[in-house]
Amino acid sequence: MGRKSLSIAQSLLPLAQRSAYDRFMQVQLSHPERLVEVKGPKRVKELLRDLNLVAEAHLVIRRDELVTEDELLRDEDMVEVRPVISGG
Amino acid sequence: MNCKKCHTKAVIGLPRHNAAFCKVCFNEFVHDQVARAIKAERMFGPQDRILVAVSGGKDSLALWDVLLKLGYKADALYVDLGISGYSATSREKAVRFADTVGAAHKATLLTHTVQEAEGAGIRELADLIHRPTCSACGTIKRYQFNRAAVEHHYDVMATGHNLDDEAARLLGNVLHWQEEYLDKQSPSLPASVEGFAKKVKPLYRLSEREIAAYAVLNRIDYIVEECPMAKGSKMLLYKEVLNRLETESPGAKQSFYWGFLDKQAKAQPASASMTEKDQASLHPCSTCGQPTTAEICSYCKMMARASAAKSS
Ligand code: SF4
Ligand SMILES: [Zn+2]
Ligand SMILES: [Zn+2]
Repeated sequence: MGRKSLSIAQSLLPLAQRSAYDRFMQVQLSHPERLVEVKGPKRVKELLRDLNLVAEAHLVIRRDELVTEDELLRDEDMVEVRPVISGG
Repeated sequence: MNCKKCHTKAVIGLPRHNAAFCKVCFNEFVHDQVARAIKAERMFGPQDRILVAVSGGKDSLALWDVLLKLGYKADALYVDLGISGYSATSREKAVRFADTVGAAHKATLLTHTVQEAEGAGIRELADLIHRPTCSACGTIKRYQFNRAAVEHHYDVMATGHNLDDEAARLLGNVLHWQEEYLDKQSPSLPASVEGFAKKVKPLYRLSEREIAAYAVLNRIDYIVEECPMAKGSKMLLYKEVLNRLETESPGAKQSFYWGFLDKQAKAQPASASMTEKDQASLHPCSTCGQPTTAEICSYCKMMARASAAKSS
C-alpha cells in the first residue's frame, strides 16, 4: 500500500511493526493524555479532520509555537493538539 | 496564511472575523476586544480597584494579564477548593503568575483555602450535605469572592467568563426556558444592594480558543487539565454542540449571545427591574451579614448542615 493512502488508524501502527528508519510525526493529545504517530506531510486542517477533532475547540502547537490551519506538518515535527474547552 | 493587518506570517486564523493575525496584531486584537467590552458595558474606570477571580486556568489568568497590561488596578483572589490532584497544581499556576506578571505590575494575589476555613475540602463538604460537588462549589466560590471584594473595598469583581461560557449558558437556559436566569446573563451586573459587589465579565467578546491562544502566545503558564468534577458536565456538551455549529458557520456563537444582549438592552427595564426586585427582597444574613433573600444565606446554611453532619 502506498504511503499516501494510509488512513490515520493505519498510520498509528505500534512501533514494532514498522521498520527502524520510518519516522512519523509525534502528536500529543489530551483527555486522556497520549502520544500518537501520524504520517506526514499533512496540513493542520487535515490532521484535525483525521483525528475527528473540531477546529474551534483546539489549538495546534508545534515546538511551542501556534500554527494556522494551512500550515504543513512534517514527519520530523513534534506537535501538540491542545483542547481549549473547559467545563467548569 | 498572513496577518490581515501587517501581512507577516500569521499565527492564528479567526474565521468568525474573517481574519488572521501575527502575534503582535493578535495581542492588539485581544486587548481591543477587552477594552471595547469594558466601555460598552460600563464595567469600570481607570481609578476603580478590581478583584479578579483566578483559578489557575487560561481564562482568568489571561484576564488578569490583559487588565494589568491595559493599566487597570487589578488584584486577584484564588480559592483553593482542596481537590486532590487538581487544586495544588492550579494554585501553583496562580501563585507563579502573581509572583511574575502580577508583581511586575504591583498587583497582589489573595487566597482563600476551603480546607482551612470550612474544615474540609469541597468534595467532603458536598458529600456531607448530599449535594453535587459543583453546586456546593458554586455557593462557596460566589460567597468567598463577594466577601473578599466587599471586605477589601474593591469596586468591582471580574471573572474570566468568555463567549463560549456565556453562549453555552444561554443555550442551557433557553433549552429549559429558565427565563428567570436570563436577567443575570448580562456581562455587567450592578452592585444591586449594599454588601453585593458589582460583577463583570470583560472576556465576553472573546472565544475560548482565542483566549487559549493568547495564553500560549504570551507564555502564560496555566493549568491545562480540567477540574476532575467537570467531566461529563452539561456545559461541556453545550459547548461541543456550539463549536460544531461555529466550525460550520463561523460567527454562530457571537450572533447567538450578542444578539441576545442586544435584545435585552432594547428591553431595558429588565435590568432596572432586577435591581429593584433584588433590593426589595434582599437583607443581611442573620449569621454572617452578607445579603440574602432568606433568613440565613445559602452559604451559612450549607456550613451549618456540614458541621451538623460531621458531629453526628
Ligand atoms: S468543575 Fe465543579 S467542582 Fe470543579 S471548579 Fe468547577 S464548579 Fe467547582
Ligand atoms: Zn500583524
Ligand atoms: Zn450567611
